[in-house]
Amino acid sequence: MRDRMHAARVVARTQVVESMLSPGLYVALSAGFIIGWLLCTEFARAVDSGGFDPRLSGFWAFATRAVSGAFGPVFVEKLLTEGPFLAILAASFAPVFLVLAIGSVYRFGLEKNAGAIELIVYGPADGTAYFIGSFIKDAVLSAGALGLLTLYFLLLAAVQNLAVGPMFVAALPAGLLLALAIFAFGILCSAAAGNGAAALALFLGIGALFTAMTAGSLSVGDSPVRAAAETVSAVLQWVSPLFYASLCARAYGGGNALEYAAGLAMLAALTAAVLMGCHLIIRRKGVRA
Amino acid sequence: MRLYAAALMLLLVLCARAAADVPVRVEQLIYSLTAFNGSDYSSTFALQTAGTIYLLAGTDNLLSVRKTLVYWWPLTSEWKTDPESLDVPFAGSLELRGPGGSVRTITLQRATHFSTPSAAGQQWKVVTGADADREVARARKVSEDYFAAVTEYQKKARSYDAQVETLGAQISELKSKGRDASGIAVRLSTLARPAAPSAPDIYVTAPDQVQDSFIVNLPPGEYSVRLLVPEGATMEGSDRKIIAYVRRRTGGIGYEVIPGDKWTRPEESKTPASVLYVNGTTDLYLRPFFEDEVNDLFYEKTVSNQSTGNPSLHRWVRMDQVPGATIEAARPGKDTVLLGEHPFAVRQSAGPGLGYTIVPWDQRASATDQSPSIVAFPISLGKAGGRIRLRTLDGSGHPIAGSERQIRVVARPPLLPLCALPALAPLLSFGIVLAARARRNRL
Repeated sequence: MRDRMHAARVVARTQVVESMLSPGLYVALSAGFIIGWLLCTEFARAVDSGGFDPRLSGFWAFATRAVSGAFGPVFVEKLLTEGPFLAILAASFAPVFLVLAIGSVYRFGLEKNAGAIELIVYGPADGTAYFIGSFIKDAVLSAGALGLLTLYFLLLAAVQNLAVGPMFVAALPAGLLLALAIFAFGILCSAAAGNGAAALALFLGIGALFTAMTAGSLSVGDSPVRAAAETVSAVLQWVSPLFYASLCARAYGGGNALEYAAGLAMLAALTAAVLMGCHLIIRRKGVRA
Repeated sequence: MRLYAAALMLLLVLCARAAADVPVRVEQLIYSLTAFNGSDYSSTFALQTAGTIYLLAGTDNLLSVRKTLVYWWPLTSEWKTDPESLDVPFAGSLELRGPGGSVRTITLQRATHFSTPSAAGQQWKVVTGADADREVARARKVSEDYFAAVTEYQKKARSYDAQVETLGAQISELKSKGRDASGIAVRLSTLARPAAPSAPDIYVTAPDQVQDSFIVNLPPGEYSVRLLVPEGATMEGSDRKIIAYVRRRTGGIGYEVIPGDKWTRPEESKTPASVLYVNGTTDLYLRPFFEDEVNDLFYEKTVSNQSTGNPSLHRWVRMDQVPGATIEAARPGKDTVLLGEHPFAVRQSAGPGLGYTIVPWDQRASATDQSPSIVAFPISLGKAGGRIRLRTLDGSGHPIAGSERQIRVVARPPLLPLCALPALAPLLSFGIVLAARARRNRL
């Protein structure tokens, strides 16, 4: 076990260095910063004498109308209650998250196809150590990106006198754990699928299913979409990271710290369970494509 | 001739269109609901196609089952009833099957509802039987007495105005003839203007006519409901589900925020974590109120059974005013200030320009039947970048939990575009990494 963890650390370090030498992460982070700056400036522009009025900004008018149409005005009210940064965090972190998740899934499949992982496995590492290393890399880079984005938001907040409130702070661990759980699903897809393209397709399919399920269950009541989503959710929600993240949000909104912590713990447990699934698949299938 | 033909065709097309716009009325068995929503009674109805009725648990709600005509009204996108054409209430009893298979039967009662003033706003009551008749009779008497007093007052006021006019004319006439009018002037000055009767304050909402209703007051849970006619049979189409729900949290504090330049468009700060962002161009007038947190869909459906909401979310709903409150305002580095509640009048700007100003209310300078436009806690915001922390203190001066809020005056410094520069930092870092790597490879 110790050897495996050491091997995983070495793989993680190598992959972090490789990621730092390719432009994807930098471009994604820059995109995140620009999105943050634009949305934050637009938010401040839409503030008038009585408060935030989304109609004063083209972007916020469109976004609040669209989100309100799907999830109701109460959702928008809660999202923007302490300021714009909760919504901006989601929008800004998305490029980094997608680059890391898609990159890892595709790369795992590609290296499996090329026999690179098989080559490593002949040495002191095994397939499990490799995917744990990949997971650690994603975790470290995600945490770093979240940290940098938070620092940038603090700068924007200080300049424009906006608040980075407790909801934003509570969203950070939930967001990170959500990302980690999805990365774990990415690894599961890579381990299960035959090649990179299939793994990516499977990962995007699962992501779309979880997103549609959560969005459907959060949609405004009485619609057939909601009924269908709730039916599917009744079975699949237990394996959806978005479900546990929404539990965290609900618990935090209801002022229940214990439930919020339980939601975080469930996210971590789901990640561990999915990684365990990857381990079992790799042990059974091996790392040969 | 062609012109006439074209005009005739156009007329026919318009007539056909007008005929098509008449809503089609459909006979339906509906539940008519007067449901308590926490602060008020909402009148709504559940269509035959509406499967569920939502009621606040532990409160009296008035239901009746009736056959009426319903039609879709596209202008407001909602179903409406046409009780003038058909309105048949059904007698019998409501049978409710609740959690654990418990069955309860509710019979029709003659009932009405009304509210009386209280320190926090209004107190609702539902009365039945003889009490209901008595209350309605009392309300009618109060109303009739008031209108009689108003009629009497108007008569006296007319007489007063006529006397003033006559005496004024006599004074003018005497003065024009160069004679002494002081006697009449003294009489004029001693004439007392009649006092307008004050409106009755026994009720905030007076009781309406007494009606036969099922008074439904349920513990939380899901129930199936149906109407049993007096013969004991089930009325076809009367099966529904009732969800009796509870508030998730109570006793929260919200604020009504009235900007000085838009007093007809107040905002509300409901969530305790919420921050109020303003541009600081005008003063704010605040009014704290108690609020309860309820399921969004359940609340919306209680107010109007045709509405929709999000069953996954809870929302804060305004209840009563906070009686005897004061607001504590703290600015960074400055002493805490206690804000008092004051009356204000809204004065329209004179001249052709639109607009108005909010000025302190002066009782002496106002007519006796006028009242203040706003009674609120005024707060000046100061310059951009300012930050004010608020909390409400109750009548005994203790802070009320959950009343804390922040007001922030948003700053838009001219150098704000420079804040976009850090967005280039990752790309710059990548350039540095590449350069360092290239240099190392050269070495």
